[in-house]
Amino acid sequence: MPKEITKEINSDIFSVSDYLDQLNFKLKSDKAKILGEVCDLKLYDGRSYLYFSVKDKKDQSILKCFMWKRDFVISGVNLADGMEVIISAYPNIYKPNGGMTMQVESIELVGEGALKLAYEELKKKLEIEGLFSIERKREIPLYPKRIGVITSKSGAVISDFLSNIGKFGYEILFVDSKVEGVEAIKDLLSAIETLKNREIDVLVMMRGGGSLESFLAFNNETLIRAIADFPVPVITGIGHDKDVPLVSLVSDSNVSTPTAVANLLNSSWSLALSDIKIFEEKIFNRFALFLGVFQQAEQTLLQGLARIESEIKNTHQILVQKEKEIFVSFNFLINSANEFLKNSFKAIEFGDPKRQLAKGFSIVRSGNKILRKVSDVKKGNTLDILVSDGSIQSKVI
Amino acid sequence: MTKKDINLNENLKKLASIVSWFENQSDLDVEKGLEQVKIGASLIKSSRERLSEIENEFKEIKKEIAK
Repeated sequence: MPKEITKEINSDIFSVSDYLDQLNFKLKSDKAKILGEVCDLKLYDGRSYLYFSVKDKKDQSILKCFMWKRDFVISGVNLADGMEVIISAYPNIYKPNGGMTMQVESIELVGEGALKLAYEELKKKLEIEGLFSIERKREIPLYPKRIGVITSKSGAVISDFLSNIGKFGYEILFVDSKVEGVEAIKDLLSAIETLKNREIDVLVMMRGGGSLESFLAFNNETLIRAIADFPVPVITGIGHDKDVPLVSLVSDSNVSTPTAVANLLNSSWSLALSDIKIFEEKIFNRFALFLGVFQQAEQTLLQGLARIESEIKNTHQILVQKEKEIFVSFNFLINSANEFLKNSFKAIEFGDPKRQLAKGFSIVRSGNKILRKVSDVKKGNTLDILVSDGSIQSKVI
Repeated sequence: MTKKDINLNENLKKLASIVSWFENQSDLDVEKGLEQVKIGASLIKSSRERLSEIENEFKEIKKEIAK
């Protein structure tokens, strides 16, 4: 056989293990949702996996199933033989025995009745645990800045939320997630995990309305507990018809639309803005009032200035007046004194006997006594007669 | 005594009292009159200085207010 042909043939030959690896790789893309009735359930306590089979109701065809416990827990279905479920699974050949099993990724309940029953049972269980109690609810922080948002990037929900969230400087950390069906559970849990370690003030989880079936993820126990344990308050905005999704019951605040979520987040900011406007008005009013008082004070001060100015002028005049009065009075005093002196001089001059002597009068003395009457002398007395230019000696005869 | 120690009002009262002394003077006491005139002149001088000082301060205040 030519060398090249041998090589070609050799390349088509696989080892059993390699072939199974290749086959399993291809089979993985044959993932499907399969409806069947659970039978032969083996939960294996303490192991990380479980086995069960799904049986076709019509012809009893069987598919063996393998599932990891962590996926089983996430699915949140309380599995039991006879239960009708839909599995999301892909085929896989188990290499040690060559048997084919379905690798189950998730399980969901079938039919409104089963879903409703599971919903009620879980609701009751969590209620008893106190997970929905008012006491557990945390206050939505005032003036939230960093908001974690989990929802689907497609659809009206995120668009409604973004068009209604106010311009208050929010920082929105958005994580896209499936929100429909059982596949959404892992996505939502992963989104929660992503935001759990980010610095956010509040977490928002939203989706639009739908049937109980479409809400499967939001009634999932693992997801509910993840919301309950989330480090910051959680707001849910999940639309619904009759049965409130259990995630909404466990969240710290629940509203039914993305617009309502946005309004709730905006509320403290809007109130603050309105308060600021009121305060601003009050400040301006008070300031106007104060300005009025100040203007009044200024007016009074200006009036005071005018009075002081007038008083200064007045004092000038008073000083001039007093100066005038004092000097006039003193001049008057001097003049009066002069007048008095003059009059005194005149009076003295008028009364001077020498002045009479010049007119022809004379003063007669006898001894040292001035004679006023005849009886003042006797015969023989010597008389001294004083006239204007001298004296005459004579004798009484 | 510095200018600021001078109390203009007190000075005006003293001047009024000197004027009153002259008005009520019936005796011609020129000596006392001269003494009063001396005191009056001194009071008028110091009052004018103080008043001028007050006037300047007042003008400064007015300027400050007008700014």
